[in-house]
Amino acid sequence: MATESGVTIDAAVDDGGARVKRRRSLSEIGRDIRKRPLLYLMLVPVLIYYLAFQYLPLFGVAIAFQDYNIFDGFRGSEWVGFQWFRILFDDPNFLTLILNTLKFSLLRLILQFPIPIFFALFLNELRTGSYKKAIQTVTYLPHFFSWAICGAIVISFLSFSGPINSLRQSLGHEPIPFLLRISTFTPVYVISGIWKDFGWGSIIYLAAISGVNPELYEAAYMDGATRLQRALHITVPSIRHIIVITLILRCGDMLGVGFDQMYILAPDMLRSSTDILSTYIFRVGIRGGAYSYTAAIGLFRSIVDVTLIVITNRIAKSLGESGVW
Amino acid sequence: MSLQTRRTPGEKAFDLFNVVGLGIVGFFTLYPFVNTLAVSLSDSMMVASGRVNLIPVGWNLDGYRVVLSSPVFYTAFVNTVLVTAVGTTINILMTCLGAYPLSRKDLAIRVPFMMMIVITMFIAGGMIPTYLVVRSFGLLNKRLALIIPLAINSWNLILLRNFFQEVPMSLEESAKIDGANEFTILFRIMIPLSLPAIATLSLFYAVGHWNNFRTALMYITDPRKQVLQVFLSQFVVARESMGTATSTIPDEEIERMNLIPDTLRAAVVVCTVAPILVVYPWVQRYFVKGVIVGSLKG
Repeated sequence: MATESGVTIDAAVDDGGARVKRRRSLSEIGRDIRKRPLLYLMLVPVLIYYLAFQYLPLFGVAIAFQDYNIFDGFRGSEWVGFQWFRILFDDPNFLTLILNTLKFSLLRLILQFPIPIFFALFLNELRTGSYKKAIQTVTYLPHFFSWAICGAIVISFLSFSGPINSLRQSLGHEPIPFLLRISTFTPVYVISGIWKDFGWGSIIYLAAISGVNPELYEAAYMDGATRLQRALHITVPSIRHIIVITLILRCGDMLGVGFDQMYILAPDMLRSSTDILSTYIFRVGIRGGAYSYTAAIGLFRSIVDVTLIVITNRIAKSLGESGVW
Repeated sequence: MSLQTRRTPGEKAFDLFNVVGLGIVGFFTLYPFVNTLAVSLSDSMMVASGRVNLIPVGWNLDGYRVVLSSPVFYTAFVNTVLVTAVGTTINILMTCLGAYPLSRKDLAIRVPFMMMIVITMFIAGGMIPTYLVVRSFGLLNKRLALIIPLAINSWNLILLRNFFQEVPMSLEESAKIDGANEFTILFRIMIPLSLPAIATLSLFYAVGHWNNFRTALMYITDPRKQVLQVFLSQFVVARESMGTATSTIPDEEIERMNLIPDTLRAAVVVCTVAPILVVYPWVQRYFVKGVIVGSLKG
């Protein structure tokens, strides 16, 4: 969702902000409310939702500086300052957690990120519309299933009786317990991630490509540009902006490696090498009840992610790209 | 593109390569699904010996018989249907209530309100604070915990707001002259005129609810309130250890059927996936449209 939302953010804020530049005063809002109260009444449940389930948790992050317990609640719990952060940074396990998270995150960024781009470029070169549509229908499919479903399928597929190990055995090789060794788990993690989302990830690029003026291609053709040249000099530049935005947003999610996929795929016996921030927070925080400690981890994660997105956005801008904001 | 009438031999070779290559990509994307379907319909002995690939061997429906007669599966299925139906209704209602006022460009509070929404798309409280908020509202182990905290998706709200903005102002004005209030305008004019968009969003939300796994894992521990995705995940996470893998289905029943977890798991997968597959043709078409509309606006 992050990639898709990023693109409209500008539009969402802009077309209100730019056109009505002048600032609204409170009295003006009051006058508007009296003029059409029903319109504002509609916004009340929406406002309550955002305050309760988006902003309350945002301020609830403060429990990272408390020794929170359920019985005393937020108001009764003792404030402990940076205690949890000190404990975190002294804990060697926390470093392992960060390194694991970064490892899987970087693998995703490097191996998973470019594939939808190439896929979109190749799809765009297909000449038969119905064939293109069929390929799209098939490759978008895994996106619509949860990781619980996809994980079950992956595990069946890679089990001792699954097609891959059966093939190995018929060729005289030993079957491999793919998910139970870190050396094979990591590629399975990356490849299953690609499998689930490469098709869907290409949509945003295809949309950008479809917006290119066909006259550009015709003009290039007239000038004798080959198909490869047309792809490289017209199609690729048309999606460059989207690639940059997607990349920036991905960097802003560096420590947010998907919980679902890891929770489903990683077996307990590989925990030391597959535990990432989100699975750890879930296990120790929600299941274990160490709320303040894990909220501190969550806050740390948010700060790193925000820093990363700001830095990458600035780098992109200094390279002459438009950036996310 | 009409201009590619004369193709050089190189281009022809590329086209062939592209068609075949993408065909292979499509085939391998689908392969694991077809394999699971075949396993679910096969004899467990054949599955265990690794003879099932893309076609069922030793046609057998026992996996489905066990799953469909399991009260735990039934409960999870009913809960999922319930959460999806009620959740989607509330989603659409709330999204409309937010989108309509915010689509009025002269609304005094429009810009700050939009800012308030957009900010939450970038920063969120995180897993633990959200959990504690849901807990403090007394929603733990209630099916409402899967509905209320997910009542609005900001992205969908903005999509619908953009759609409402396209509805001509004149319709609204003439309705006002006829004495219609804003609620009448929303429900009698805006929503009927935006049915394609509403249908799209309903599918967005419904598939989201059906697939919702993490929220249920976090907020629901009572088996009577549990949903399909978590039921399914029990087969997955506890893999290799038969005992826990099938804890929700009586052991004797499985032994009687002589099923291995593979067949059973595949049957659960197919039962969980089936409803999505039924709506997939529409979902796919609408989703694609929705994303394209959204991204071009940006």
